[in-house]
Amino acid sequence: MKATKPDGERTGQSVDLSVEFLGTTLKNPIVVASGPFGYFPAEARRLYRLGEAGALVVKGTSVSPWPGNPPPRLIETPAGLLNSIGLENKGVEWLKRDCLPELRAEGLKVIVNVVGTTSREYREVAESLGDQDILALELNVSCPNVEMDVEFGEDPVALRGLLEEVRRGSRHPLIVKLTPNVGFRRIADLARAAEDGGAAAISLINTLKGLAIDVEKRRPVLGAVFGGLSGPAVKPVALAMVWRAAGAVAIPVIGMGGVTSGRDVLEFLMAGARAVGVGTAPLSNPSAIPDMVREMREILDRLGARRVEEVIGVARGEG
Amino acid sequence: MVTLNDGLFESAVERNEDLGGGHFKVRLRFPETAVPPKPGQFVLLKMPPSRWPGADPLLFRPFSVYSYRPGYVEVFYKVVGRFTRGLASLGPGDPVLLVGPLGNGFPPDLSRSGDFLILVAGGTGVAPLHFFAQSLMEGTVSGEGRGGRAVGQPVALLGGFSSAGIAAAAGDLRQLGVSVIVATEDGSLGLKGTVLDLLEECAEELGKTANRASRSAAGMEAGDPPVRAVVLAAGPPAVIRGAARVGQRFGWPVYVSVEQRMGCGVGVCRGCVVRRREERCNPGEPRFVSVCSDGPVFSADEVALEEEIPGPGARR
Repeated sequence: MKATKPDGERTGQSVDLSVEFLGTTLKNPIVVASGPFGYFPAEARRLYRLGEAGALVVKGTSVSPWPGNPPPRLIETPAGLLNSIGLENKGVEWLKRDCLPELRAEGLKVIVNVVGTTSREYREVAESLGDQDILALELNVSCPNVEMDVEFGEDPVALRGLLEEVRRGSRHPLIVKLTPNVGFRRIADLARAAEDGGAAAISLINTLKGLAIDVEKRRPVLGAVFGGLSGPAVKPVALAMVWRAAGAVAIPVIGMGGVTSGRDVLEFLMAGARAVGVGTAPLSNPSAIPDMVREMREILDRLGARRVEEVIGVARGEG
Repeated sequence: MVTLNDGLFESAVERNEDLGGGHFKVRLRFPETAVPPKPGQFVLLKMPPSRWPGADPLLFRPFSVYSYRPGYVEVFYKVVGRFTRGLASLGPGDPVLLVGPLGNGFPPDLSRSGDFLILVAGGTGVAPLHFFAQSLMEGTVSGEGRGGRAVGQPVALLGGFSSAGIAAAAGDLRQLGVSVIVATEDGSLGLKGTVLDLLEECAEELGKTANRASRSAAGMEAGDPPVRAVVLAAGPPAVIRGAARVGQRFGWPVYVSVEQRMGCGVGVCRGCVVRRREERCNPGEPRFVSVCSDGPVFSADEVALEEEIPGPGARR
């Protein structure tokens, strides 16, 4: 519904969508989550209107290139997507040389997602990015598609140890991306461990571990057997965890999981998130980001809010 | 005809032709101002939310371009699930979201003067090969890189279909001078069998006669090196695997159009990859290539065409 005022102004044009986050101002609370759009080359940015988001999180980057998982890597599920990409990436040197300069030239606000198998690898990536003009590093501490000996994202002690190590090497604020696969009961423990370890912010949720079976072939669909579930189907789970995590820490929260509309963005903000991640939605609706921005303005205007920051945490009786 | 984002169009059905056996050919409006598709490229299709609200199905689906004229593209599809069932229900004027053209297309320099071109189509694999043959014979794409088909270059399309009705998908190529040879599973048209049966027969014959016929057709001298065929294959994995094996046996180059489930369609999500052959990977080079952006057309010796069997847990 697009109501226009007598002078033709679109609804909500004067609503201020900017948010303060980690010492900078984002033009809106939408952050493009790491993964689906890789390193945000120009062709993808133009087709999916990604530059209209407040910030972009670049795909999980490791010290040296990772090949990723064997195919098939994708299967659609009811209102969702199961993926087992396996963090395929070309490594941090390639990122610095072939990717970040172009994003900087476009004036985009960039967060780099970091992956590793040991805390030392995470630190090496952080060190390598020390001279880069980026907003923050987001530590991917458990992707459901890569097996590690120590699951940093599932063990509060290990997580604090990781953060300690990485902070020694990083000049940028650290965001810890939490996994829902620890279960609702434990998410607050991991959030607190991130805060205690010196994280500047947390982001959640990463994907939910899932499986699909090919009945004709009598075996799993995905080459790596298990995958991570994203998309509208996961939203209620994500929202519950964001609510719980936001209540456990004072550091800002980036909430994500199944966000497809401006209304969804507002739900996450009202649950306590300061910014909201979007990953799968543009794959389904290439105009998702501008559509969300427009819908946020309309709803906030109807609610009588002048600034989006007014609604952060209101559902919990804060703000 | 509305351009939404770069490469994304709100298209509409012009006609949606039922060819029988669950096969359809749909003509979709395509802006004349957009980049025209090349043979081997594909488009992503989805029903718009106004027609199909909700999150199910979530993703666009890829379809090879069957033909292109200024103002429209044609796509050839089989009803295999709820998306294609929905597509089959559309009529003239119904809106469709379209992204394209995408992918690399067939390389322009894949054959030389005197080469036989054998196009091996399994079912809906006829789509990219039809566009290739149409463009080649009409002189809009080159088998040689210099514009226009080489004089005397024989082109044969071998098509394997489930029944006679959809074999019509390639019929119009005859008028352009392509030899169209059909096999049907039910024997209702042409050979009763598969396209690989056809390829076996044709390859044997070609192996025997290539030297004589092609030489004189291409005006070659006795001392010139032997001519060869170039094979283009598209369709189910068994068809492209079979075509690759035949090509290897006769020493002919083979190009395949690969299918894979897709996410972003532009090479960034890495969801649609296939494995490169071990021997083609130098240290530091990627082990996987994306079907949407590095492909869908590959040289058969570039990619591993055997099926991947899921392993226990993730591998890195």
